[in-house]
Amino acid sequence: MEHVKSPAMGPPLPALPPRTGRLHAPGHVPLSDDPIHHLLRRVTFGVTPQLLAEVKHQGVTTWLNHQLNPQSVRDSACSHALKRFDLLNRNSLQLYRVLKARDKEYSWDAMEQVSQATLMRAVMSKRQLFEVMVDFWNNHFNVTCPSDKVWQVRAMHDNVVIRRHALGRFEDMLIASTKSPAMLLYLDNASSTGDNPNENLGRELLELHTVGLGYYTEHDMHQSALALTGLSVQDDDSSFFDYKPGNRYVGKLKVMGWHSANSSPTAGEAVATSYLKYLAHHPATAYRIAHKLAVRFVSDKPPTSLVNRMAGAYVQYDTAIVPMLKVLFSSHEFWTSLGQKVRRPYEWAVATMRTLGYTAVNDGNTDDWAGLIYQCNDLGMAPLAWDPPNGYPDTQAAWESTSTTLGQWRAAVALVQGWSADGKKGVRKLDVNLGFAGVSGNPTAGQLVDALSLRLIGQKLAPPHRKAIFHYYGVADHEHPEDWQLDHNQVEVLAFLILSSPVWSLR
Amino acid sequence: MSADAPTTRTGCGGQLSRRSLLSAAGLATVVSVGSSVFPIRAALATGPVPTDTLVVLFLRGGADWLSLVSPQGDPHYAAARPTIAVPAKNAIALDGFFGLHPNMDALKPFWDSGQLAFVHAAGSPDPSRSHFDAEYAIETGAYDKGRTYTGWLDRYLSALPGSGSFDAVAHSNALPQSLSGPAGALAIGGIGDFDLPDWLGKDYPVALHGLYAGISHPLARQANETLSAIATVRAVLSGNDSDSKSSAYPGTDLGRAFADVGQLIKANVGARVITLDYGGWDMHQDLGYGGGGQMGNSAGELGDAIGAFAKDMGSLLGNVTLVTITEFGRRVEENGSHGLDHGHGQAMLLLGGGTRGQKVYGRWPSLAPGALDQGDLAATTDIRSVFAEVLHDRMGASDAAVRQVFPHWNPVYTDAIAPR
Repeated sequence: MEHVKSPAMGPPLPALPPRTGRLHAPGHVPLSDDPIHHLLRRVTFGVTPQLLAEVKHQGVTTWLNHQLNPQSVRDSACSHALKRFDLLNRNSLQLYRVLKARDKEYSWDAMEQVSQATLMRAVMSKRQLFEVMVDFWNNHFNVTCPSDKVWQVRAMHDNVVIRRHALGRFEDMLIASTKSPAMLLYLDNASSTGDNPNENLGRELLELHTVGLGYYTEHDMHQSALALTGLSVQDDDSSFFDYKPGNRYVGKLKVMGWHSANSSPTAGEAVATSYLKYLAHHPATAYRIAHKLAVRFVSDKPPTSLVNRMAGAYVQYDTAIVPMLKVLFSSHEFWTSLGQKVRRPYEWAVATMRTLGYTAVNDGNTDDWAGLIYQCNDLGMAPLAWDPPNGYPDTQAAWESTSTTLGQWRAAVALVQGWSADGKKGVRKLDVNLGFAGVSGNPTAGQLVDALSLRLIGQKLAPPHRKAIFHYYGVADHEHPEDWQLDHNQVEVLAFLILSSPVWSLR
Repeated sequence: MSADAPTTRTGCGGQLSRRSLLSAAGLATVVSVGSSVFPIRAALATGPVPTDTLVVLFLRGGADWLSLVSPQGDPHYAAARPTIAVPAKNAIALDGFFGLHPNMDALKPFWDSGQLAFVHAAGSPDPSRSHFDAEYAIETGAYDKGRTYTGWLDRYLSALPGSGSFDAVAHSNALPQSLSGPAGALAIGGIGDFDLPDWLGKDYPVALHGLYAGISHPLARQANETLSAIATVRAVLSGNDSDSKSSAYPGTDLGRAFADVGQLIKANVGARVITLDYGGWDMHQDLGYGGGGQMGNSAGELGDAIGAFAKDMGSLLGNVTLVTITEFGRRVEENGSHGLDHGHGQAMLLLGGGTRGQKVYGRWPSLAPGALDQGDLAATTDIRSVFAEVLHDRMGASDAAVRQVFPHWNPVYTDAIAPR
């Protein structure tokens, strides 16, 4: 089958569907059913007034097509801001030399820059869908960042595995990941030998990266580990990928329906590659990747009909990712899934930073980006930091807890006050008072609450929830309270409350 | 980074121009709403069935119990691990066959006093050797290929009469699978931080509650649980004199977690089940030589934290049962990276409550190649038997309740636990 890389392939994208009105039943979170807001909650890290204007100006189809072809989206502000991360775009040999020269061999500096740059891009990049997909694949091919073994190679994993292939072909990404020094070190394949195999990568390759449990036996798993022997890293300063014939198991191999005579140690890399291609094209992999994407974009239990159509596109277009996404974004299942996802803590935090206008300032300073990573960490979800190899879970049940709820209430306070965003150490944010732009004259309490709600969460609060706020301030909706001259602190408290609304917790 | 406000902001909430709040009527409304909305958790004494507090410590990643409690009397042990076996001369002799890891010496006094036991060669019915599958199977306790999603601890809580008057706490940011389900549980990452900034004032939680009014989404349940948990934690902390916040715990994550658990138990908030996690056991590479290295560090942190907890509990330990679990043990033979791949059989630590201590329970299956289960320590005791015995003998669960927790299966008790 010929390789199909063009993002133009796949079904046409939809025109904007009508409002569904589905969520206005009693008991539901009263989320706005505006389809553009629904789309942007799912395919970006959060709505901003600028983004909304852009989508309305371009039209949904054009905007989405650009998002699926990220090179066509100008992103100069973010690119410029990223220049402060001097270790980000170096390969592992360059990193070794730079860090050694600074007497910081084995330091976590480069990995911390990867984490901070990941957050900065989620907050600032105009290539939002690309950043969402980078997050998705960084979790699928998780290499915990920061973690000890990968201090020198984690940045390279982000660049040449994840970012290079995030909207490309899954087969290419799988091969790149399995030969990525970061993965080989993180899951210990670098030291695996035919005589004494280390099964860590051989197992997770089957269970997590491709077909999933239920398609292979424990014997297949042993064979999988043997099929990967020899894939290793150079023992010199570079830590580049190295195929080591001396580590190679030689002899017949069979995993599920794949087999190889595997008779020569020097041909082992090609044998391993053929095994990876087999896995990439396995129908169980197609279904599993399609299902995982549908969980990301549609619901925790996505309709099988949709997953099957996406898996079909994966097969039809030779494991290309964009056609699957086009099936997804054209589906009625996507457009009628309003309110069926809950924002995970990191997504909640980034959406909050975006609506508060967080942005990079002061070339060179990264202190406050480090501070924002700590805040994400307090919420239990710093980017790329999940420890086990399966990546952060993406279902409501995995995250719903008193700790998550309290963490977000507290983070609303911290991010609105924004002492990590005073413009002095690399981050600045907007003043929440700007949420009253357009409110003039002698506004009622209701008008003020509505204006700030519209600005921060894109919709008004429902009547009982507006009432809770009026009660807190001791005013009535229609009052023009002479003594309710909102000073800055009081506006901030109003913003904390609005951002603590369950409306803001939905994706 | 602290989420507390700078001191200059102190009192901001109280300075808001809330006219009605200053009136007597307004204040009365807030107070009555507050007390009905955020009940402080009932103390255990008011519960219908007296039980221990069950503390379940999950060692995430697959802990190698052949290092932690090593079978020094089995000749195949040292042979299978030429570089990473715990040397006999370093192990702390327990019973002439097993040796405790040298860095777990803090546990030795409780072994000697008869409060500590192990069940070795225990294993889950799940054969997968997958972290995620094995954890899910153990925590749901159902072993029905994912059809059951509720946790075994949740089913225990649901099975007790008077469900709702007791409490379950996960010392973590997210609830573990074992507590998932209708009974509900609190996740508290650390009790010292579990609060809203003071300066937001006492009406702020009422306003938060109002933002979820009329909503039946799980987010609303979590909001109400959170407000209730905040009230409970405030009560715990205000009831504690500083001496009882024992400084005798190690400064590790696990030490701090156990210090919190100790505080919750001493405050008698009604915590019937408390879960903790301690990760970092997935040692595929460079496990450590002679009892040192990664395994030495982890064993030391584990032993020191549990030892400090046992000491802090003192006489209360008789009403606390601590049990450990890990998703699987490790391969018997070391791999080419001086580490251990995923295996099967494990050991479970039992401390306190009615533990009939100073004994390693379970039939030892031998590490002879022919006795292994796919290269791994074979399981001779089903882990559910140990859990079931704790629930039955210490946690007020009837035989029928045990069958609800672990359906379609009958336990074989080890007698490691004396009934309350």
